[in-house]
Amino acid sequence: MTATTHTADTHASHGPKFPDPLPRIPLVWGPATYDSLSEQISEITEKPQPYWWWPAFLISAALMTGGVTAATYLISTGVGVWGSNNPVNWAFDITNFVFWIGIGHAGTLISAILFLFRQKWRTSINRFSEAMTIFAVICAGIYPGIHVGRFWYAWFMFPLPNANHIFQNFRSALLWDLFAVSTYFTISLIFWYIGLIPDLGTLRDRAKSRTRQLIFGFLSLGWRGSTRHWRHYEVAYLMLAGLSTPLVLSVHSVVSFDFATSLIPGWHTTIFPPYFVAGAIFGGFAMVLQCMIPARAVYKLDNVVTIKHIDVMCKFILATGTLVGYAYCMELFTAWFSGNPYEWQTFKDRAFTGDYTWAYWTMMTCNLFIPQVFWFRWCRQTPWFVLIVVTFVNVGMWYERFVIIVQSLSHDFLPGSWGQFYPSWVDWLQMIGDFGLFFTLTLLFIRALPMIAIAEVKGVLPMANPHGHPVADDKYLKGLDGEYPTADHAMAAEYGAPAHAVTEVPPSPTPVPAFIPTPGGNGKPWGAVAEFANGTLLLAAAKATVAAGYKNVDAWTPFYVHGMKEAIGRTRSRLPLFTLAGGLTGLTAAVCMQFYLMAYYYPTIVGGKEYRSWEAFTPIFFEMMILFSGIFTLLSLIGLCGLPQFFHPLDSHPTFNRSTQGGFFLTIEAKDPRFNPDTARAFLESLGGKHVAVVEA
Amino acid sequence: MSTATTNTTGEPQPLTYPDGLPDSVAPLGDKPVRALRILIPIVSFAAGALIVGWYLNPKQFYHSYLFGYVFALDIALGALFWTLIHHVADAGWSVGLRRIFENITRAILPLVALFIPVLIGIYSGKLHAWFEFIHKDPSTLVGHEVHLQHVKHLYFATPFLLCRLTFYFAVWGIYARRMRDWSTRQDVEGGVALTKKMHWWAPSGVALLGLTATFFAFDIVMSLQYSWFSTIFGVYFWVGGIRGSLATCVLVVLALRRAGYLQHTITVEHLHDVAKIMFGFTVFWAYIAFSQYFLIWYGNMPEETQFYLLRRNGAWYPMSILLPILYFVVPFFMLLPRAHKRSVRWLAFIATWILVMHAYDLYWQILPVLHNDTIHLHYLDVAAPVCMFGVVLLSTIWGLQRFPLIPIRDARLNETIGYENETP
Repeated sequence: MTATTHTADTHASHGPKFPDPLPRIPLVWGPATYDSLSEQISEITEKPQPYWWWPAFLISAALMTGGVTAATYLISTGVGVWGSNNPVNWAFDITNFVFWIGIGHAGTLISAILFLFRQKWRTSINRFSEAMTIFAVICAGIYPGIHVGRFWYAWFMFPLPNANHIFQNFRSALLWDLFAVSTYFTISLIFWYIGLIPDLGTLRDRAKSRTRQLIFGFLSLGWRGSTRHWRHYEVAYLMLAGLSTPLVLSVHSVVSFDFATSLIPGWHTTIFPPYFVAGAIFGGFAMVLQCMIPARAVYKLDNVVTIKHIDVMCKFILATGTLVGYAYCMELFTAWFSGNPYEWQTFKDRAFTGDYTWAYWTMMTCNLFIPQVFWFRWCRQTPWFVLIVVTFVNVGMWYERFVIIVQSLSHDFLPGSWGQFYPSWVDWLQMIGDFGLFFTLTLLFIRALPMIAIAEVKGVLPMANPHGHPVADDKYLKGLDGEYPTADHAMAAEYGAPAHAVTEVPPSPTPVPAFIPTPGGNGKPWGAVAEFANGTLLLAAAKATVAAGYKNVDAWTPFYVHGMKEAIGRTRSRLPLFTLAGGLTGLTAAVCMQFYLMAYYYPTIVGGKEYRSWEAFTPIFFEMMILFSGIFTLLSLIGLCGLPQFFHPLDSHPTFNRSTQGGFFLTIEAKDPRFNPDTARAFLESLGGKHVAVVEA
Repeated sequence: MSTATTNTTGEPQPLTYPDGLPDSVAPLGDKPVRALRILIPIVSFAAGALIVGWYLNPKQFYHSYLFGYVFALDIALGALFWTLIHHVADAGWSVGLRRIFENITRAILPLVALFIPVLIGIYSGKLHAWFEFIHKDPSTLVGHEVHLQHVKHLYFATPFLLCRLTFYFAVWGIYARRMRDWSTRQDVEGGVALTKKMHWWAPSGVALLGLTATFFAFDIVMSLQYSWFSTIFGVYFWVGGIRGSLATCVLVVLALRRAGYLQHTITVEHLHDVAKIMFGFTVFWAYIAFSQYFLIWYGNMPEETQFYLLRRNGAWYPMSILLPILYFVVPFFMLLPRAHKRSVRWLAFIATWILVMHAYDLYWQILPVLHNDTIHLHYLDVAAPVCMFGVVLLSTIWGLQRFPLIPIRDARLNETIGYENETP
């Protein structure tokens, strides 16, 4: 068998060769361009908010204050103010903790897993979901802190020894939780921030006020869309997606270990890890829709977050809801099939005879039965109806955790210890306060940052496809017979055909001189710059420039144009090596820390586990490996790109701020051995470049 | 370009090949003679060995046979999963691969017939210990066993078990058949009506396949140790089949490419993506296997730990330790570099490795029940999987001989021909 070097380049002809009876529906509907999209999304943060924003914010903030009050009362008085009792030692606290951790999972699924599967519809919703992930983890993170009762001892959770040199028990699910949740929060934040960088650049370049310019200039680290940066950026994004995908599985698996490693009937079952992960994604998608449907309507984003997006997300809810239902059935079946009387009596009590059957059937109805309506197209494509269904899902997922936790504890091995749980007003206030916190943060996010990943959506516009063959407007989305193949096609076509590629560079507001001075410049040229109308022209120009013998060439684009890094003579980024180094560092650190502390420094036996039981150390091996990989990826991205770079000679060019919106620029630097200001300028003009100038260094 | 082929009834059907296909994808007809000349004697020889083994050592035969059978069935069900999931996701790049998977699912029909020896094994009491257990006189049982017998007696009641098994096979057979028929009918008719039909039916197929495969795993594999149970076992069974079918698909594609077919139709770009999915499911297998082992280890309850304790006896112990290394760590590092995922040589090696390790995994699941002191490798343990996998390959070739190698009039043909893998 021969190793083949064949690539698709052999068939250089792109575009539809065969009849296309079922055209793909574009992800953005209607005639959107790079500029219109930048404006549509950025404006939300630039203009005053609509009137409803303030009452919504005040209500959320008031609820959040209630949560703060409840937590303060709890800390000053003690955990006795909650309804938790014996046998139900864990109740609302852990229910809320698991609920919020779960909500976060949809964000990571959308941003990481769907990215790996190249599901490009994710670009319209990933930013919003990632933000929700972070806010949800913040809501969840409150509980491990306050449920210890003596808040000032919360540092006991961290791997620090107490006064007797005794370290935490690394074989305990609660310590795994700490590592998993803090890693999840950190990596999600890094992922979110890296995704935001190009859009922060867009906001900076659109900013009218000095304050906004400074804030976004600082936050964007001086991102200008250089292809040398994009090539690292794209790889960093892929690395983080690759890291987040197993991470998201591990986080809810570790949360499920809180229960499954115990011997409580109803908790100890092997399907718990994937079951919890499926449930988390299910609940998370419901929450994304819960927030996204109103936001989409209010901010008129229905051309970007289309009905098809809602449709697909409903399908995910159906799929994950059915998977969760599968897990419910497996538990119930195995409880009976195992012949284990303890297990079976717990499930019989849960489902048929006990005090919590109402909660069990609420959970079953909301999570398994109601989402089955999404088999029908109308139910998936009617926003108000979807909103009702996802509300049920959110309720159902809260009840799922409540059932698992409270019912199992209330009805354990000994009939003598059976008991009920009654939540106190503090429990309720804390729970409602968490929703207040979540919505407060979400509203602030909508106010301050672009809720849709502008750069990513630009990359999936039909005009961004350099090989795209635009069809005639009257044939748009029609099949071979001239009819719309599905109702979805007709629906998308109502928004109108997509904009054709821009072929003319928009005029500069001020005339572009041949030599542009830079404030504080040294009089020598930095390089020559030219603007092109679109990515395809820029790609051709870049290739021609490199072919002409120039080496220090760079292209500046609002999104990564496929093939551009090769066009400017660069290769694949070496950034993965840093990620790997981070992973090995984290793994080594975790191995040394756990074996040393648990088996040598102060050997302890807890729960009959051996000193060197690698199994129990595995969760933290994994979490620290991912944590270090992610941090190394962020730092190496910043380092390899030479960021932050708050000032750049090109900033003086009158139209260069369009490089983060809809402009495409090519530069030849003065350090290129062939560089000569006049010939470079003439060469760029001969390639069809506009606004050509030499910039002072 | 136009040629003729025969449909299942043997009547010639006109096929219109679209212009611009980079390779000839006409049905193979008599061309794979050499492959058949090698394959048929091997399968026949292995089948002969099985028959001999049946006479000489029936108990060993039934266990080895079950091992080989589950190995093949798992692959066929995995192929059905990929066929269905292709439609669920409305995928475009994998159109060419879908036909390979469709052809692998042709093994389901012979596997229905080949299930009969398993049934004979069960009902002659030589395979599953529960058969003897549920027929014991309740007065001879003590303590917990009484309760256990009550449950198992109901669950393994003959009519209930046979009805269930019939239902599983019916679901697999009908969905596989329907998906294949619509797909090959589209080769003739074209259009979108059949695409829509496949899209409409596929989601329910995935749901039913998941459920039936789970209960097949419970009924036939997990219940070899009838007092053991694990709620995740169905998922573990799925992942095995998913990995095995991917590896089989890669090997079939590479064999076709080596024989000169599909050179520009299923390229390294497609294989790269398949390799990524193999990588993903390698990690997913480790996740599921670890979840099961870890929770049982941590809980340390005798009714659960019996599964792993049985696999600690004698030579089973090193085999248990090697399983995650050979089936997870080694393929993980082999599939990690991008260059390996794009190298035909590496992929051929990795796919073979995964397939062999899939058999290793099933051997480790099934055979300790028979030889619980240590490993006794029997010639039937080789003959059974070889024979059964041969059946899978013969069924696949049967399809390749009669139908175009890719769905030639698929609505998403543009996306699979000349496909470029987008990686930064």
